[in-house]
Amino acid sequence: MVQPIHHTVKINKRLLSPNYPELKLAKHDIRNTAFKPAHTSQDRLQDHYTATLESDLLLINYTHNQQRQEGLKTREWDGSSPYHINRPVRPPRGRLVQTKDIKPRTWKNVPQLELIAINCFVKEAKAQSHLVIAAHLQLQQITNSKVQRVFTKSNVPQWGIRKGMPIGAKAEIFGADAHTFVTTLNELVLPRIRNFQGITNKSGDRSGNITFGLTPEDVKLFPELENNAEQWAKTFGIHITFRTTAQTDAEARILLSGLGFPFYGEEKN
Amino acid sequence: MTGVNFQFTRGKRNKANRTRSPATERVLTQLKMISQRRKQPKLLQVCQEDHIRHETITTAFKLYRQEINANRAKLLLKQYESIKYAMEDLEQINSYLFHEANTNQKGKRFDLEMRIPTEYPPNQIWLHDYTPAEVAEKK
Repeated sequence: MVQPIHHTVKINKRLLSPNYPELKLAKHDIRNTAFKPAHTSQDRLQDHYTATLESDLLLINYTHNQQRQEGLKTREWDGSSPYHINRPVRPPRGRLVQTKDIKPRTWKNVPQLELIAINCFVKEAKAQSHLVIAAHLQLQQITNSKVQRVFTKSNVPQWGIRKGMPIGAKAEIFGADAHTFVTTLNELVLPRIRNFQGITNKSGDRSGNITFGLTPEDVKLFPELENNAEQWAKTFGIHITFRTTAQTDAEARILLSGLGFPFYGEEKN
Repeated sequence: MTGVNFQFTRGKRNKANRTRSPATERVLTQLKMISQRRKQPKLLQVCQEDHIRHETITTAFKLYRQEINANRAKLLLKQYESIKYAMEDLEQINSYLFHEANTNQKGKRFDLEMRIPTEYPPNQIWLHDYTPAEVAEKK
């Protein structure tokens, strides 16, 4: 007897129906409205990474006889008191949030750049909300991607903000766009910033993501804005976060130094 | 109505007699630049034959890239195993050297002078005596 499998196999009924064939096209199909051409040109940074950095990073991060290193986790009450039953769990020792486990480094998890998140908070937009539009356009110009608007989340009368006010813009860029952004930063923008020391070694969220900021004057050095400088009398500072697959900040910094970013200061974590 | 200043114009208000400040115009231009209509490219119209051709080429290129990535992963695995065997041997031979080789390399940096290579690095960095080629005059 053949066992019924219709409970175990998930069926996408949308694809079975003959209606709306144009909505069932795959993302890579050129007839799909969401189609985005990929691999249209050489990716210099990706080639550099695969040819040079990847094998070096594998060797640098290798440690012999690695074990899974457990991160700091929340602590349960031991149950010695009946009041422990509904008590909320204790935070990790010495911290407020849990940290991730560190897995053994192998050829499968060599650190690489995942995406770049760019955030632009416009303080002046509290009084002049139209400045958000300029910040949005500025991010669109320098990232070549779709930018999202940022709204305030809470009411704080002392700061003059109400919930839902437009207050900035943010963008997340992947792949070729992100790589172009990195090379633009390293070859055209950062070398021309006066007194630029590098990214501080104190930056990082302990799980391999490094952040640094650019002032409004630094942003003017992006070629997209510089070539049209008279239109960009007012620019806005940005925060740039490199999200990497590195498990610690120290490894993420080694990766970013390979992509051409200088670092300064004492390194603790 | 109080507090509202209408600038009265003769006749109906329309686009021609509308006045906007330059600041407003600038914001409007910026809004036009970020509108989604500008980002949506025209949908490609291809016949069935061309579509099949395109799909074939795309699939072939995908397979080609898959092969390259598989080779890369294989090389990395080989490198990883070599490192592992070398460390196992070193552990047997010399414990001091093993300890030195196994220390955490935190704070290591690639050289700042290491540049991301370009496909065509220039032989001549700057064309200092550039003169534009003469264009033949149209008759």
